[in-house]
Amino acid sequence: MTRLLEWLTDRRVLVLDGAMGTMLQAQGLPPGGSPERWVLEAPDRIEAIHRAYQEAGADLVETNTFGGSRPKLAEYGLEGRVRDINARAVELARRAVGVRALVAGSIGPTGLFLEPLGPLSFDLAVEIFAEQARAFEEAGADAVIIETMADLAEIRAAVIAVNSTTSLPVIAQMTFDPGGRTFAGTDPAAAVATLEGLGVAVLGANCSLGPKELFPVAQQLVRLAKVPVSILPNAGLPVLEDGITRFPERPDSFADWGRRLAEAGVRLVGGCCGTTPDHIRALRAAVEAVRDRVQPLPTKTTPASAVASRIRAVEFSDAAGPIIIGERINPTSRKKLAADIREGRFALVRAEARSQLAAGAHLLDVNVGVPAIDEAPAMRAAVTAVQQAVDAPLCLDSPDPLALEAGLKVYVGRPLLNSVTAEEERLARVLPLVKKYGAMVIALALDDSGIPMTAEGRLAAARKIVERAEAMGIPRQYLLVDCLVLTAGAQAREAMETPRAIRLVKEELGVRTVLGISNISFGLPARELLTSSYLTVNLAYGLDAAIANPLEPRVWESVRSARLLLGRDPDAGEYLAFARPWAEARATQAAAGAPASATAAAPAAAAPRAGPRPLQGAAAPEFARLGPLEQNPLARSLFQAVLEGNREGILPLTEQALEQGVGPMDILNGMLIPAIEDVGDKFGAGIFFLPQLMLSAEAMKRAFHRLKPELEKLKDGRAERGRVVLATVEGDIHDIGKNIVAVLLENHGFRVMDLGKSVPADRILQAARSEEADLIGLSALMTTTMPRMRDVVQKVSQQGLPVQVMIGGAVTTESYARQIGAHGYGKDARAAVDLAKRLTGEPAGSSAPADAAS
Amino acid sequence: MLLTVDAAGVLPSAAAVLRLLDRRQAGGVADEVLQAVEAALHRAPEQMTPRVVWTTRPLAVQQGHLVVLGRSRGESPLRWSRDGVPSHLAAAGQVSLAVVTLGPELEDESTAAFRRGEYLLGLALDAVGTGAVHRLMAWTRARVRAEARAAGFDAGVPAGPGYDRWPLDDLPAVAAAAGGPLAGVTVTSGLMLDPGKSLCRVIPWLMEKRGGRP
Repeated sequence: MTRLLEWLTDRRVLVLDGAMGTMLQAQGLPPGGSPERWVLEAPDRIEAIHRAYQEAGADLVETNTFGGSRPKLAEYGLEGRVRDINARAVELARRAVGVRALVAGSIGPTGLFLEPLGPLSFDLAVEIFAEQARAFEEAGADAVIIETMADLAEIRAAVIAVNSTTSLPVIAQMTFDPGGRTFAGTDPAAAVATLEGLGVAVLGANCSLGPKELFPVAQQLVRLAKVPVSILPNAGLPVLEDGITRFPERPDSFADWGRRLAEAGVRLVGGCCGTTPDHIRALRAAVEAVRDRVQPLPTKTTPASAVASRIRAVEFSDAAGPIIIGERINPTSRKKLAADIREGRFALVRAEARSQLAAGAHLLDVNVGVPAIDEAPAMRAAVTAVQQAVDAPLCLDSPDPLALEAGLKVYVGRPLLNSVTAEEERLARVLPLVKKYGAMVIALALDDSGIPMTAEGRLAAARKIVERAEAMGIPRQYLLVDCLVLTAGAQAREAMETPRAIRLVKEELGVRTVLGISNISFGLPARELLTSSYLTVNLAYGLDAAIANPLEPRVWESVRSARLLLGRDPDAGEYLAFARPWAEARATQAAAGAPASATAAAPAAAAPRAGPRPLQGAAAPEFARLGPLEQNPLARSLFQAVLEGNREGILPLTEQALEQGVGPMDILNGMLIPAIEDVGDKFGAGIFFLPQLMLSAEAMKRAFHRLKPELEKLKDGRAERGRVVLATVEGDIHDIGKNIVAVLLENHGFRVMDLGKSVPADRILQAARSEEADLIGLSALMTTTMPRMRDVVQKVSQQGLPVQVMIGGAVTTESYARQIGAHGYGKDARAAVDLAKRLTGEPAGSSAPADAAS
Repeated sequence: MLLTVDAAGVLPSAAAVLRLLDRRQAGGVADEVLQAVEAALHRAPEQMTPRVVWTTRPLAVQQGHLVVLGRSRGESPLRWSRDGVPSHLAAAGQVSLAVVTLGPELEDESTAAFRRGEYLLGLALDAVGTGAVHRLMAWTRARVRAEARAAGFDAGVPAGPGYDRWPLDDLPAVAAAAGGPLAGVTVTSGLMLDPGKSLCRVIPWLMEKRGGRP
């Protein structure tokens, strides 16, 4: 047991020292001067500060080496003195406090980002931190405290450096924003998963905030962490007084917060910026008052089975499970993906990552196993690309330990490795990686003899891995045992050995389990049926996670159903929400006269993804909008195609309608326009969202394009409701809102001349004149560009142009329209359509264009 | 400092793009919408040239104004009325003036998509651009913050002309002083940044607010 742990066990709560920087400045360190230089040049003053803190009651003091890394010392020309300064700093602290307090070597950030955000490679970062750590141990430090870290990648490198080069216990502290995340976005759960995985003795938070603001972070850390938690707040939030930064928290109130922290379960409390020996003295007294009420340190804890990205953690637990690990970043049998990986292109990899995550995957498996490539650089590039694209934790999947390590070096957070087996060589090469990089690992239940055919054989292989891992200090909670799926097409009789093995290893070994589920259906038709059924069977036997295709809806059917049946969805809320589209689709089809068979009502059979189509749910069609003559299956199908945004389906339906002798005007006015108006109403009511509106508009446009030549055969000249010249005014380059208005106007039968953005008034008038426009539509985003609308209106008036002007845009209003003499204002795209209809002489919402046939 | 940033590194997540598209339906995302978002995310990096440029200058308070001093004779001071500028800037010892842009191509592609009748893709490309330019500014702030921390400061919340009561009239001078033209960013007569997927911000360096030496 380390001295740190002994003291923690003995004293339950330890008091750490306070700020060094502000104390040094009080001792005369000039602004911008090197604090670490004083280790060499003013050792007496450093020693005096340590002594003052120890005498104030600190159980642990930190060395004056926060900026003692090579890059930080280089700012003062001291890069050649790293060992001297860090070792000497430990000696000074020890001389000051003797055996009355522990000495922790302090490591702060280098000030550099790790690749790919910055210039620092992982290996170089480890080397930099290791240099400090070695000096600490050689000089007799009791621990290393890594502090004020905001970047999970950097603190991870620092912990790995200390662990790799010393036997010192590590206190690892990050610094959090008031929102409870580090500036790089890491939340407490991701920090805990990553740091505990790396085996730190203590984890916590320091700096940035005062105790009041850090308290919620502390509560989260205590709840999540199995190791002791340390909190070292600033003396409040700084204020600037007369050009000087001051920290307002007084010792008594600071100490009161310290008491609260101890009562909340924090085991190490101390101070950061702005705190003084007076703060620590008061803190010590406050802690003494509650020490007896604090629970003794538990002698044994069960670490959580969790992985993390830079941003967030995913825990393998009954409550959260089953966890779905997306399997699609794998070049096996995927030529395009394989070619991309071979050529170092990762756009498709990123797209796969995004789509799987959007479909609900919790983790993503990353496999770059293209034949005959060097997997290590490919894995490094793929991990970087995927981590840049999505915020999910990753599963690094390779048979090559070098590729695994390449991925581990650039990974930010705590990954899952895929995989280790009970084969001797694999154990010897993969488990050290798991230990060093603090990963979780999938343990395949096979050994040097291959895959055992029986559940008992797989249990034996799993047991061997668990025992070997624990002998290396890797808790079994960090393993996910894969009891292996054999192909049903070849070995159907053995299929049930896998769920039996799952039950056995969970009962006998107390581990979590995972399966690469898709293998069951290899070589068989309708694979998704068999795969999802097999998933359900294994979930019933206790499976915790599956490597599967999250884009396959049946996976989610199994998951949602199993969560309900296994009691993890006690009020069935998740299931009901998931199943609602099914029920509504069935009701819709019944209402539409479709046979109410199970197949017809099963969206999963029609929809390739888990998400419901826009038609489902609240977006059910309002066939009542169709006139009495249009109440037939074809009209309903066209109506529905617009509503669904069915771009492929609408053209054949339009052709069919024409072939059946329905007039193009009847198709347009009787079927399509009522549908797009229904879409507009749903958008206005908040049922549809903008993408759905655009989707329907695209479908509508395709049908309209097909009808246009037919319409023009009917009449010479205008086969439209009216002509609109649209433009964003001069000086305004916002385009998108105007584009949307153009789309909807066209959908409703207007002919639109879109002049684009930043269009001068004269050009707008010229176009209105040459196109014989009925309307000018003007868009402006900014108050600074609105006056250009007035210019256009004035010129229209001055030139006596027979055209009306309507305006819209984020900052425009009805009253502004009146003020400048415009003929109307549309608050959004749909209102603009209604306005255009009204201005061209047609009642808003009418489905019969006044002049379309004239 | 002018940097060109890897476009893929500032792409927003699909979830972020869906949020920007105003996804109000709780039940899920239609295949076509997701496909459009994926297509936009796939296509966007080729249509983006993310650039960031920033400069850091001392700030002083003089007679009711904040004055950003030039570091050389060639640089004119900027003078902002203290009443209009967010109050936290007044506490800064210096400020970084930053402009970020994705370049014009993505907007052009969005407009072209609308013209082709691919409305959803056009919309998604625009949303990707919006998400990306904000991520680019966040990335820039992180870089500035790293610089600030190395000097014992912290980078505060970015603000800029047009924020709250800060007159937009100050935008051309701030964008120019930041080096906007170096990144290809100009200001229109209507006081909009051109290309549209650009941002201009002032990032205050605050004394030891956080991340400082313990």
